[in-house]
Amino acid sequence: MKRLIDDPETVNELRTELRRYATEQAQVDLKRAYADLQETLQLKAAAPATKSAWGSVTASTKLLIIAAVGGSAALGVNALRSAEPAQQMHAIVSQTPSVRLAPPPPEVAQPEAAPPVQVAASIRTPSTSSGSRREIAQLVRIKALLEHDPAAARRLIRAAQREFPAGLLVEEREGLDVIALFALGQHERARTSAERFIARYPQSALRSKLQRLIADARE
Amino acid sequence: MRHEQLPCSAFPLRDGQDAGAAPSGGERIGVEVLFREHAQFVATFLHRLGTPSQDVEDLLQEVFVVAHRKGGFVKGPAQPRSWLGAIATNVARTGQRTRRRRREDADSPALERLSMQAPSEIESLARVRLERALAELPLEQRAAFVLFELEGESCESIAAVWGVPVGTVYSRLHHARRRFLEAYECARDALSARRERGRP
Repeated sequence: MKRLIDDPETVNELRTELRRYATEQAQVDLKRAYADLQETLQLKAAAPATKSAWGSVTASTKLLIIAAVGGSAALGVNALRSAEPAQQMHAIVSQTPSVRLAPPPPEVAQPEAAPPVQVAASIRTPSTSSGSRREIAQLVRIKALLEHDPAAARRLIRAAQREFPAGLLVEEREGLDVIALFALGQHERARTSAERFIARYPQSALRSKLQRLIADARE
Repeated sequence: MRHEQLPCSAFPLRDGQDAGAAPSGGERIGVEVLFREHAQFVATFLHRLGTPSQDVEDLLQEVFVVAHRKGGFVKGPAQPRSWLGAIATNVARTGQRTRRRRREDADSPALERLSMQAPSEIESLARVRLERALAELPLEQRAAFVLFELEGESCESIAAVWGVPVGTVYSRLHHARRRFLEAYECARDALSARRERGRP
Protein backbone atom coordinates (compact mmCIF):
# COMPACT_ATOMS: atom_id res chain seq x y z
CA MET A 1 0.00 0.00 0.00
CA LYS A 2 1.51 3.33 -1.09
CA ARG A 3 1.28 6.47 0.98
CA LEU A 4 -0.58 9.37 -0.64
CA ILE A 5 2.64 11.35 -0.35
CA ASP A 6 4.47 8.79 -2.48
CA ASP A 7 1.70 7.87 -4.87
CA PRO A 8 2.12 9.55 -8.28
CA GLU A 9 -1.64 9.31 -8.74
CA THR A 10 -2.24 11.73 -5.86
CA VAL A 11 -3.12 15.22 -7.01
CA ASN A 12 0.05 17.32 -6.97
CA GLU A 13 -1.39 20.05 -4.78
CA LEU A 14 -2.47 17.57 -2.10
CA ARG A 15 0.82 15.71 -2.23
CA THR A 16 2.75 18.95 -1.74
CA GLU A 17 0.52 20.01 1.15
CA LEU A 18 0.79 16.64 2.84
CA ARG A 19 4.57 16.67 2.53
CA ARG A 20 4.81 20.08 4.08
CA TYR A 21 2.32 19.22 6.82
CA ALA A 22 4.26 16.05 7.62
CA THR A 23 7.37 18.10 8.36
CA GLU A 24 5.64 20.44 10.80
CA GLN A 25 5.92 19.85 14.52
CA ALA A 26 3.81 20.81 17.52
CA GLN A 27 5.40 23.46 19.67
CA VAL A 28 5.83 22.22 23.22
CA ASP A 29 8.41 22.90 25.87
CA LEU A 30 9.85 19.42 26.05
CA LYS A 31 12.26 20.18 28.87
CA ARG A 32 9.46 21.44 31.05
CA ALA A 33 7.24 18.54 30.04
CA TYR A 34 10.04 16.18 30.98
CA ALA A 35 10.50 17.86 34.36
CA ASP A 36 6.76 17.58 35.03
CA LEU A 37 6.80 13.94 34.02
CA GLN A 38 9.64 13.28 36.41
CA GLU A 39 7.68 14.89 39.25
CA THR A 40 4.64 12.77 38.51
CA LEU A 41 6.63 9.56 38.25
CA GLN A 42 8.49 10.35 41.45
CA LEU A 43 5.18 10.83 43.24
CA LYS A 44 4.06 7.48 41.96
CA ALA A 45 7.39 5.76 42.28
CA ALA A 46 8.29 2.95 44.58
CA ALA A 47 10.33 3.80 47.65
CA PRO A 48 13.59 5.11 46.20
CA ALA A 49 16.09 2.38 45.55
CA THR A 50 18.72 4.73 44.18
CA LYS A 51 20.92 7.06 46.18
CA SER A 52 20.22 10.10 44.07
CA ALA A 53 19.95 13.53 45.63
CA TRP A 54 16.22 13.34 45.07
CA GLY A 55 15.98 10.21 47.13
CA SER A 56 17.20 11.99 50.25
CA VAL A 57 14.53 14.67 50.33
CA THR A 58 11.30 14.23 52.26
CA ALA A 59 7.90 13.65 50.76
CA SER A 60 6.74 17.08 51.85
CA THR A 61 9.75 18.70 50.23
CA LYS A 62 8.87 16.89 47.02
CA LEU A 63 5.40 18.34 47.22
CA LEU A 64 6.84 21.81 47.77
CA ILE A 65 8.96 21.34 44.69
CA ILE A 66 5.86 20.31 42.80
CA ALA A 67 4.13 23.40 44.14
CA ALA A 68 6.99 25.48 42.76
CA VAL A 69 6.99 23.66 39.45
CA GLY A 70 3.23 23.87 39.12
CA GLY A 71 2.90 27.19 40.91
CA SER A 72 1.55 29.18 38.03
CA ALA A 73 -0.82 26.33 37.26
CA ALA A 74 -2.19 26.45 40.78
CA LEU A 75 -2.58 30.22 40.62
CA GLY A 76 -4.27 29.87 37.27
CA VAL A 77 -6.73 27.40 38.69
CA ASN A 78 -7.56 29.64 41.60
CA ALA A 79 -8.06 32.63 39.36
CA LEU A 80 -10.28 30.67 37.06
CA ARG A 81 -12.33 29.17 39.83
CA SER A 82 -13.13 32.58 41.20
CA ALA A 83 -14.68 33.56 37.89
CA GLU A 84 -18.04 32.69 36.42
CA PRO A 85 -18.11 29.64 34.10
CA ALA A 86 -18.50 31.71 30.94
CA GLN A 87 -15.58 33.92 32.01
CA GLN A 88 -13.52 30.86 32.73
CA MET A 89 -14.15 29.53 29.27
CA HIS A 90 -13.38 32.93 27.79
CA ALA A 91 -10.11 33.00 29.69
CA ILE A 92 -9.19 29.59 28.33
CA VAL A 93 -10.24 30.38 24.78
CA SER A 94 -8.46 33.73 24.77
CA GLN A 95 -5.22 31.91 25.51
CA THR A 96 -5.64 29.47 22.68
CA PRO A 97 -3.04 30.11 20.02
CA SER A 98 -4.39 30.50 16.53
CA VAL A 99 -1.67 28.42 14.92
CA ARG A 100 -0.73 25.17 16.51
CA LEU A 101 1.92 23.67 14.35
CA ALA A 102 5.19 25.23 13.36
CA PRO A 103 7.73 24.25 10.76
CA PRO A 104 10.57 22.04 11.89
CA PRO A 105 13.92 23.44 12.96
CA PRO A 106 16.01 25.03 10.20
CA GLU A 107 18.17 21.97 9.69
CA VAL A 108 15.17 20.00 8.40
CA ALA A 109 14.80 20.64 4.67
CA GLN A 110 11.37 21.68 3.47
CA PRO A 111 10.06 20.94 0.02
CA GLU A 112 9.09 24.54 -0.52
CA ALA A 113 8.82 27.84 1.29
CA ALA A 114 6.39 27.56 4.18
CA PRO A 115 3.96 30.38 4.98
CA PRO A 116 4.75 32.54 8.00
CA VAL A 117 3.55 30.94 11.20
CA GLN A 118 3.14 32.00 14.78
CA VAL A 119 4.85 30.06 17.50
CA ALA A 120 2.31 28.55 19.86
CA ALA A 121 1.81 30.38 23.13
CA SER A 122 3.27 29.01 26.31
CA ILE A 123 1.12 26.33 27.83
CA ARG A 124 1.87 27.51 31.38
CA THR A 125 -0.91 30.10 31.30
CA PRO A 126 -4.45 30.13 32.71
CA SER A 127 -5.15 27.40 30.17
CA THR A 128 -3.23 25.07 32.45
CA SER A 129 -6.48 24.52 34.33
CA SER A 130 -6.80 21.32 32.36
CA GLY A 131 -5.80 17.78 33.15
CA SER A 132 -2.92 16.63 35.19
CA ARG A 133 -1.62 20.08 36.16
CA ARG A 134 -4.90 20.82 37.88
CA GLU A 135 -4.82 17.47 39.57
CA ILE A 136 -1.27 18.09 40.82
CA ALA A 137 -2.20 21.56 42.08
CA GLN A 138 -5.10 20.02 43.96
CA LEU A 139 -2.84 17.46 45.57
CA VAL A 140 -0.55 20.24 46.77
CA ARG A 141 -3.55 21.94 48.40
CA ILE A 142 -4.59 18.68 50.03
CA LYS A 143 -1.11 18.27 51.45
CA ALA A 144 -1.12 21.82 52.79
CA LEU A 145 -4.53 21.32 54.41
CA LEU A 146 -3.39 18.08 55.96
CA GLU A 147 -0.96 19.98 58.16
CA HIS A 148 -3.59 21.96 60.04
CA ASP A 149 -7.08 20.79 59.03
CA PRO A 150 -7.17 17.07 58.22
CA ALA A 151 -10.99 17.03 58.06
CA ALA A 152 -10.92 19.69 55.35
CA ALA A 153 -8.16 17.74 53.61
CA ARG A 154 -10.40 14.68 53.54
CA ARG A 155 -13.26 16.69 52.06
CA LEU A 156 -10.96 17.96 49.33
CA ILE A 157 -9.67 14.44 48.73
CA ARG A 158 -13.22 13.19 48.24
CA ALA A 159 -13.93 16.04 45.85
CA ALA A 160 -10.73 15.32 43.94
CA GLN A 161 -11.54 11.61 43.71
CA ARG A 162 -14.91 12.52 42.24
CA GLU A 163 -13.33 14.95 39.80
CA PHE A 164 -10.48 12.65 38.77
CA PRO A 165 -11.84 9.13 39.35
CA ALA A 166 -9.27 7.72 36.91
CA GLY A 167 -6.67 10.43 37.44
CA LEU A 168 -2.92 10.18 37.68
CA LEU A 169 -2.85 10.64 41.45
CA VAL A 170 -5.64 8.41 42.74
CA GLU A 171 -3.16 6.34 44.71
CA GLU A 172 -1.53 9.38 46.32
CA ARG A 173 -4.91 10.79 47.36
CA GLU A 174 -5.93 7.48 48.91
CA GLY A 175 -2.68 7.43 50.88
CA LEU A 176 -3.11 10.99 52.09
CA ASP A 177 -6.68 10.14 53.11
CA VAL A 178 -5.35 7.41 55.39
CA ILE A 179 -2.80 9.83 56.87
CA ALA A 180 -5.65 12.28 57.50
CA LEU A 181 -7.52 9.56 59.40
CA PHE A 182 -4.50 9.08 61.66
CA ALA A 183 -4.29 12.85 62.16
CA LEU A 184 -7.96 12.89 63.20
CA GLY A 185 -7.24 10.26 65.84
CA GLN A 186 -9.39 7.57 64.22
CA HIS A 187 -6.66 5.04 64.81
CA GLU A 188 -8.55 1.79 64.36
CA ARG A 189 -10.17 2.85 61.13
CA ALA A 190 -6.90 4.41 59.99
CA ARG A 191 -4.95 1.24 60.72
CA THR A 192 -7.38 -0.93 58.74
CA SER A 193 -7.33 1.53 55.86
CA ALA A 194 -3.54 1.73 55.96
CA GLU A 195 -3.16 -2.04 55.80
CA ARG A 196 -5.61 -2.18 52.92
CA PHE A 197 -3.71 0.62 51.15
CA ILE A 198 -0.35 -1.14 51.59
CA ALA A 199 -1.81 -4.39 50.29
CA ARG A 200 -3.21 -2.62 47.25
CA TYR A 201 -0.14 -0.46 46.55
CA PRO A 202 2.84 -2.39 47.90
CA GLN A 203 5.25 -0.20 45.91
CA SER A 204 3.81 3.11 47.15
CA ALA A 205 6.20 5.80 48.32
CA LEU A 206 3.82 6.34 51.27
CA ARG A 207 4.21 2.77 52.47
CA SER A 208 6.98 3.39 55.02
CA LYS A 209 5.23 6.46 56.42
CA LEU A 210 2.02 4.50 56.87
CA GLN A 211 3.88 1.62 58.51
CA ARG A 212 5.37 4.10 60.99
CA LEU A 213 1.93 5.54 61.71
CA ILE A 214 0.51 2.04 62.27
CA ALA A 215 3.34 1.28 64.69
CA ASP A 216 2.90 4.61 66.52
CA ALA A 217 -0.83 4.00 66.86
CA ARG A 218 -0.18 0.65 68.54
CA GLU A 219 2.05 2.19 71.21
CA MET B 1 8.80 11.96 8.85
CA ARG B 2 11.73 13.14 10.88
CA HIS B 3 11.13 14.57 14.33
CA GLU B 4 13.46 16.62 16.38
CA GLN B 5 15.19 14.60 19.05
CA LEU B 6 16.66 16.21 22.08
CA PRO B 7 20.29 15.60 22.93
CA CYS B 8 20.97 13.17 25.73
CA SER B 9 22.39 16.01 27.81
CA ALA B 10 18.94 17.63 27.90
CA PHE B 11 17.54 14.66 29.81
CA PRO B 12 20.24 13.11 31.93
CA LEU B 13 19.32 9.66 33.09
CA ARG B 14 19.32 9.02 36.77
CA ASP B 15 21.41 6.23 38.12
CA GLY B 16 19.69 2.93 37.69
CA GLN B 17 16.66 4.37 35.98
CA ASP B 18 15.42 3.45 32.55
CA ALA B 19 18.77 2.97 30.97
CA GLY B 20 17.01 1.64 27.90
CA ALA B 21 17.22 -2.02 28.75
CA ALA B 22 15.09 -4.21 30.93
CA PRO B 23 16.93 -5.89 33.76
CA SER B 24 15.90 -9.29 32.48
CA GLY B 25 16.40 -9.37 28.75
CA GLY B 26 17.57 -6.08 27.34
CA GLU B 27 14.54 -6.03 25.05
CA ARG B 28 12.74 -3.23 26.78
CA ILE B 29 13.01 0.52 26.21
CA GLY B 30 12.43 2.60 29.33
CA VAL B 31 10.22 5.65 29.49
CA GLU B 32 13.06 8.16 29.75
CA VAL B 33 14.63 6.95 26.54
CA LEU B 34 11.21 6.83 24.90
CA PHE B 35 10.57 10.41 25.97
CA ARG B 36 13.94 11.62 24.75
CA GLU B 37 13.51 10.04 21.34
CA HIS B 38 9.79 10.29 20.72
CA ALA B 39 8.25 13.09 22.83
CA GLN B 40 8.21 15.47 19.88
CA PHE B 41 6.52 12.81 17.76
CA VAL B 42 3.89 12.17 20.45
CA ALA B 43 3.15 15.89 20.88
CA THR B 44 2.73 16.35 17.13
CA PHE B 45 0.65 13.18 16.87
CA LEU B 46 -1.66 14.39 19.66
CA HIS B 47 -2.08 17.67 17.83
CA ARG B 48 -2.92 15.85 14.63
CA LEU B 49 -5.56 13.85 16.46
CA GLY B 50 -7.27 17.15 17.19
CA THR B 51 -6.03 17.85 20.71
CA PRO B 52 -6.23 21.58 21.46
CA SER B 53 -2.84 23.26 21.93
CA GLN B 54 -3.44 24.01 25.59
CA ASP B 55 -4.02 20.32 26.32
CA VAL B 56 -1.16 18.83 24.35
CA GLU B 57 1.42 19.08 27.12
CA ASP B 58 -0.90 17.50 29.69
CA LEU B 59 -1.79 14.66 27.38
CA LEU B 60 1.85 14.22 26.41
CA GLN B 61 2.61 13.64 30.06
CA GLU B 62 -0.25 11.18 30.42
CA VAL B 63 0.97 9.17 27.44
CA PHE B 64 4.37 8.69 29.07
CA VAL B 65 2.87 7.94 32.48
CA VAL B 66 0.86 5.17 30.84
CA ALA B 67 3.98 4.00 29.00
CA HIS B 68 5.77 3.91 32.35
CA ARG B 69 2.96 1.91 33.95
CA LYS B 70 3.18 -0.59 31.13
CA GLY B 71 6.84 -1.02 31.93
CA GLY B 72 8.13 0.65 28.79
CA PHE B 73 8.22 -0.57 25.22
CA VAL B 74 9.03 -4.20 24.58
CA LYS B 75 10.83 -4.71 21.29
CA GLY B 76 8.90 -6.88 18.85
CA PRO B 77 7.09 -6.62 15.54
CA ALA B 78 5.73 -3.17 16.40
CA GLN B 79 7.78 0.01 16.32
CA PRO B 80 7.90 2.30 19.39
CA ARG B 81 6.04 5.07 17.58
CA SER B 82 3.15 2.81 16.63
CA TRP B 83 2.97 1.73 20.28
CA LEU B 84 3.11 5.26 21.63
CA GLY B 85 0.62 6.28 18.95
CA ALA B 86 -1.85 3.68 20.23
CA ILE B 87 -1.44 4.93 23.81
CA ALA B 88 -1.82 8.52 22.61
CA THR B 89 -5.01 7.60 20.77
CA ASN B 90 -6.53 6.19 23.95
CA VAL B 91 -5.40 9.19 25.98
CA ALA B 92 -6.78 11.56 23.34
CA ARG B 93 -10.11 9.72 23.41
CA THR B 94 -10.39 10.28 27.15
CA GLY B 95 -9.35 13.90 26.66
CA GLN B 96 -12.10 14.43 24.10
CA ARG B 97 -14.71 13.09 26.52
CA THR B 98 -13.41 15.35 29.29
CA ARG B 99 -13.46 18.40 27.06
CA ARG B 100 -16.98 17.63 25.92
CA ARG B 101 -18.08 17.36 29.54
CA ARG B 102 -16.39 20.62 30.46
CA ARG B 103 -18.01 22.43 27.57
CA GLU B 104 -21.39 21.13 28.65
CA ASP B 105 -20.64 22.17 32.22
CA ALA B 106 -19.55 25.62 31.14
CA ASP B 107 -22.62 26.00 28.94
CA SER B 108 -20.65 28.12 26.54
CA PRO B 109 -20.29 27.77 22.78
CA ALA B 110 -16.99 29.65 22.85
CA LEU B 111 -14.87 26.69 21.81
CA GLU B 112 -17.19 25.82 18.96
CA ARG B 113 -17.02 29.41 17.77
CA LEU B 114 -13.28 29.28 17.94
CA SER B 115 -13.02 26.14 15.87
CA MET B 116 -15.29 27.56 13.20
CA GLN B 117 -13.76 31.00 12.94
CA ALA B 118 -12.18 32.06 9.69
CA PRO B 119 -8.46 31.43 9.46
CA SER B 120 -6.30 34.34 10.36
CA GLU B 121 -3.90 35.83 7.86
CA ILE B 122 -0.93 34.02 9.29
CA GLU B 123 -2.57 30.63 9.11
CA SER B 124 -1.81 28.54 6.14
CA LEU B 125 -4.90 27.73 4.14
CA ALA B 126 -3.33 24.43 3.22
CA ARG B 127 -2.96 23.47 6.88
CA VAL B 128 -6.53 24.48 7.61
CA ARG B 129 -7.77 22.39 4.69
CA LEU B 130 -5.85 19.36 5.87
CA GLU B 131 -6.87 19.70 9.48
CA ARG B 132 -10.52 20.17 8.60
CA ALA B 133 -10.39 17.06 6.48
CA LEU B 134 -8.66 15.13 9.27
CA ALA B 135 -11.32 16.32 11.70
CA GLU B 136 -13.94 14.50 9.64
CA LEU B 137 -12.39 11.13 10.45
CA PRO B 138 -13.41 9.04 13.46
CA LEU B 139 -10.57 8.88 15.96
CA GLU B 140 -9.35 5.37 15.10
CA GLN B 141 -9.31 6.09 11.38
CA ARG B 142 -7.63 9.41 12.02
CA ALA B 143 -4.94 7.74 14.12
CA ALA B 144 -4.29 5.11 11.44
CA PHE B 145 -4.22 7.73 8.71
CA VAL B 146 -1.77 9.97 10.57
CA LEU B 147 0.49 7.10 11.57
CA PHE B 148 0.66 5.69 8.06
CA GLU B 149 0.32 8.68 5.76
CA LEU B 150 2.17 11.35 7.74
CA GLU B 151 4.47 9.46 10.07
CA GLY B 152 5.35 6.65 7.70
CA GLU B 153 4.67 3.82 10.15
CA SER B 154 4.19 0.49 8.42
CA CYS B 155 0.84 -1.28 8.33
CA GLU B 156 2.51 -4.32 9.91
CA SER B 157 3.68 -2.26 12.88
CA ILE B 158 0.25 -0.66 13.35
CA ALA B 159 -1.43 -4.07 13.11
CA ALA B 160 0.93 -5.53 15.71
CA VAL B 161 0.12 -2.77 18.21
CA TRP B 162 -3.60 -2.95 17.65
CA GLY B 163 -3.59 -6.72 17.70
CA VAL B 164 -5.44 -7.01 14.40
CA PRO B 165 -4.57 -8.66 11.07
CA VAL B 166 -2.73 -6.37 8.69
CA GLY B 167 -5.71 -6.63 6.32
CA THR B 168 -7.83 -4.86 8.93
CA VAL B 169 -5.36 -1.98 8.96
CA TYR B 170 -5.49 -1.80 5.14
CA SER B 171 -9.27 -1.70 5.36
CA ARG B 172 -9.30 1.07 7.97
CA LEU B 173 -6.79 3.05 5.97
CA HIS B 174 -8.83 2.59 2.82
CA HIS B 175 -11.96 3.96 4.52
CA ALA B 176 -9.99 6.74 6.20
CA ARG B 177 -8.38 7.78 2.93
CA ARG B 178 -11.67 7.89 1.04
CA ARG B 179 -13.31 9.95 3.77
CA PHE B 180 -10.30 12.23 4.04
CA LEU B 181 -10.20 12.92 0.30
CA GLU B 182 -13.90 13.75 0.21
CA ALA B 183 -13.55 16.08 3.17
CA TYR B 184 -10.42 17.64 1.70
CA GLU B 185 -12.28 18.50 -1.51
CA CYS B 186 -15.13 20.04 0.47
CA ALA B 187 -12.77 22.03 2.66
CA ARG B 188 -10.84 23.25 -0.36
CA ASP B 189 -13.99 24.42 -2.12
CA ALA B 190 -15.37 26.09 1.00
CA LEU B 191 -12.15 27.93 1.79
CA SER B 192 -11.64 28.99 -1.81
CA ALA B 193 -15.16 30.41 -1.90
CA ARG B 194 -14.59 32.26 1.35
CA ARG B 195 -11.31 33.67 0.09
CA GLU B 196 -13.01 34.85 -3.09
CA ARG B 197 -15.74 36.58 -1.10
CA GLY B 198 -13.18 38.20 1.16
CA ARG B 199 -11.37 39.90 -1.68
CA PRO B 200 -12.02 43.63 -1.98
